[in-house]
Amino acid sequence: MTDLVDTVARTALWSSLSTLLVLIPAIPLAYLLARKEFPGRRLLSTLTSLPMVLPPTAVGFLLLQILADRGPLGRDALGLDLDILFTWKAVIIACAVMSSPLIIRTARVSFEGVDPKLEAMARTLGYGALKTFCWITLPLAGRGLLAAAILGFSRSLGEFGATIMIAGNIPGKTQTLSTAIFSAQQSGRDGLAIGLVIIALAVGFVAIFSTEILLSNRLKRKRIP
Amino acid sequence: MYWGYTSLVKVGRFWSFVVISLVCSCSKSSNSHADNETITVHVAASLSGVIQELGEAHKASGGSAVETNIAGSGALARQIIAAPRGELFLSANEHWMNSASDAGSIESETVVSFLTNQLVLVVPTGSNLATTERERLCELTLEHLCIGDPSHVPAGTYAKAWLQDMECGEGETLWSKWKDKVIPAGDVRAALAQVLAVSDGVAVVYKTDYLARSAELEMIYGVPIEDAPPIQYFAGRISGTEKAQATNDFLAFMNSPEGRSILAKHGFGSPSALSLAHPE
Repeated sequence: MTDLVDTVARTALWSSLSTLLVLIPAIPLAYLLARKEFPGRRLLSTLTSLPMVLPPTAVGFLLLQILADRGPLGRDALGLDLDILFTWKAVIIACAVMSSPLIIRTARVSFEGVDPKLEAMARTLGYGALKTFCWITLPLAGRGLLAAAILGFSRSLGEFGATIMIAGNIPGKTQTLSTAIFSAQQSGRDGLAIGLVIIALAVGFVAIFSTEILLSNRLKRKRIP
Repeated sequence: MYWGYTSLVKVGRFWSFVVISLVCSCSKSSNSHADNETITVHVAASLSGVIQELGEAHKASGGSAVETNIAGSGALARQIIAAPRGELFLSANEHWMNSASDAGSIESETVVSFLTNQLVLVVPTGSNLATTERERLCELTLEHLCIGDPSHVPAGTYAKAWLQDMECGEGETLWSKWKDKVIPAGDVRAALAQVLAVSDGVAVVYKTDYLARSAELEMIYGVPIEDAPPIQYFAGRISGTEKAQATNDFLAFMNSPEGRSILAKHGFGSPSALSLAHPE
């Protein structure tokens, strides 16, 4: 039972951390994609969405080749061992890569929903670009960004294919909720598997339901003249 | 209007909590990492039930603790080729063991066939299909044949090879009779789930998978080992491990009477020409 709680807590922690890791570059990136015209914009947008359409095992395989001892970011190439494969760091990388398209796309849509006139008004009142972004754009896009974070978090919770490829499935070390379900089912412990599935369902439901509330309130608010 | 901003502040607090707890948990996990008395074994998914019991028994008998990494043999082989970590690889399939060994990630001289498995025909408990014998297999009428996808699931490949070898006269084989009834599954456990969901279905699976769910299933025929292609599991020590002695001890334990009895309880057999008796 403590193992079960441990696995769930660890998965939640890793998913939170991966969401944070993605949010840091995703917010400026999504803003750029939403507001600025620059060469290669479509290309960048396509590239950031790729992990969403690729099979997770393919992404995992690609990451494994990159992080392999003889790979471009491996021990031999860098001259030092980052000790990523088969550790919790690999879980976070897998989750971050797989959830980034959801986060970037949702954040981009929420920036697009902010009226540029409000930003322009702030600028005429003496706010600089950064101050406008921090005090006008970010708060206005806040709900959407929160929804992006929740979606990314839930995607990370369910990540399986890429995780099992680069982090493995080591109980107490790199096992996540998804890989624990796989192990329980493979070893014929159906009761445990069902218990884990129910936990996954409950967490997923709460997460998606709260994004529904966040996004639908915004719609209602917009209807008020 | 600024609801989003206050919630962002709350989220910020949440993240700081997350970061702090992560730092704590990492310092904890790096301590357990330094444990020399633990060996890491990469285990084919179909061994996941038995490996846990073996690991516990090994530790109870004074051996090192066994940490497992469980996935399909193919995924494990790719991981070991990319970065040979851990001590031992237990593969459900010779091909993947050879790939890892050819890549230099497994010490080829340590590779041994250490387990055998057997195919069985199973039906859901209460099915109207009854226990049968070799001569009467061709008379069996079934609606669905649930097997692992023969194109890539080893159990399905073995099942298809055996069905193709079983002759029913007039140039017909069991495969030619039944191939239109095949429901290919992603893995053996999925084939079992499917046969439980349909009536008049038969699944061809490993004996070990049947034993893991024997409460819901009935075995109607056990394929004699000599009738089907040999189903073997391979063990190999990972190159460059610093715990070679502990690894050999665990291999020897699996081959000891106690280890063998645990394996036999789960339905695994020993290869007839066992080359594991004296790991160096």
